[in-house]
Amino acid sequence: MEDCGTISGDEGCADLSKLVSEDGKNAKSVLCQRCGSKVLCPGVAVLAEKELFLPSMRKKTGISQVEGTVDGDTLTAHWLVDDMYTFENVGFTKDVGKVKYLICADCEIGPIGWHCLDEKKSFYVALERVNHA
Amino acid sequence: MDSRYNIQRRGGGGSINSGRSIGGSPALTGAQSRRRKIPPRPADYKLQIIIIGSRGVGKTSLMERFTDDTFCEACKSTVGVDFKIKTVDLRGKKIRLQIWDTAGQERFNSITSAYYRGAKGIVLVYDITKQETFDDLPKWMKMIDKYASEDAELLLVGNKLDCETDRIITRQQGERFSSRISGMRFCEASAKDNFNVDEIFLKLVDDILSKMPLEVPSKALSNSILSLQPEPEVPPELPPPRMRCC
Repeated sequence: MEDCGTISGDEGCADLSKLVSEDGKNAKSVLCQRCGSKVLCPGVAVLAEKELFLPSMRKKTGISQVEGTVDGDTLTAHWLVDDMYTFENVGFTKDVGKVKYLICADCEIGPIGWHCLDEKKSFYVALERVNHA
Repeated sequence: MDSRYNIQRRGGGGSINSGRSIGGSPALTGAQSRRRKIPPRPADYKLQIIIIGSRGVGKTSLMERFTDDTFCEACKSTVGVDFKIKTVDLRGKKIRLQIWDTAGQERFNSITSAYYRGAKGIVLVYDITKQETFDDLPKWMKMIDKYASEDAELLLVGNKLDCETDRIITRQQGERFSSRISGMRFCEASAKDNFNVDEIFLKLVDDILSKMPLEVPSKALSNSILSLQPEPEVPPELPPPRMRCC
């Protein structure tokens, strides 16, 4: 379980330069951390900084969830695309307020990204929640 | 299955450990740097597909790759999936599918007509082990007749082929049903062992492409041209937010 989730996080930030091409786009393919499903082709998304809260990819086990609180992370580094058809494979959750979370289209792990219904042309994928190859 | 049929699922190395090789193996890095020079290829076609059928027939599982582990999918259990974008390579074209799963809205009248109207392909699913899901098919056909575009491709899927021992609906019954509806294809599938699942979408897309204008000038295949076409009236790309209780 622990073999894939945490790796790209820290390494990804440390090696940001390897992930971003000169024109600010993703130099590598963006893949699901769990099943390898291809989310984005290289060169189609721009790096964007925005503080977004994404619920945890792992369900809490053992600890009962405190009502009204959601376990998760505030992430700032994202791949941004302006058209949902830019994605190779991605899933959208049903609305949570004004937000739809992005998940892997194949294994449905997530959230890997964020989309607000008020910003029709912004789809964010958190660097920490995907692999790059 | 022809090897040119290929649902794109794994990119690059595809291993879940590929995060370790950030920076990449020499081979990968080479390929990457070459690829970077080529502008990303836009999708050639964008198609909407809906999956309908009675409760419990396995509609949702047709949309996902079966995975054997019991990893908790927080998202799935709490919020549910609205739709998916999937990419298929067929006939040298890159086709983006927007696939709508109607699970949770199975009562015949609760699926809004918008779902049907925009769909170029409709997958109607029943469970080969449950008579009532087969008996429901005419009701689903009524909805299709009422709301779907006449040229929408139809595919009937008898699901749960992995439960062969509990089979109640014979293959012939399924075939007979689909043969009475012009242009409807039929197949049996098992989402559990992925049998026929990729093929379902490929078949459907192949049929849809067959109906499209023979040769589109290559320029027309770019995104910009596609976006100049009139917007499809419905369904909207993202439906208006539904009322929620929380």
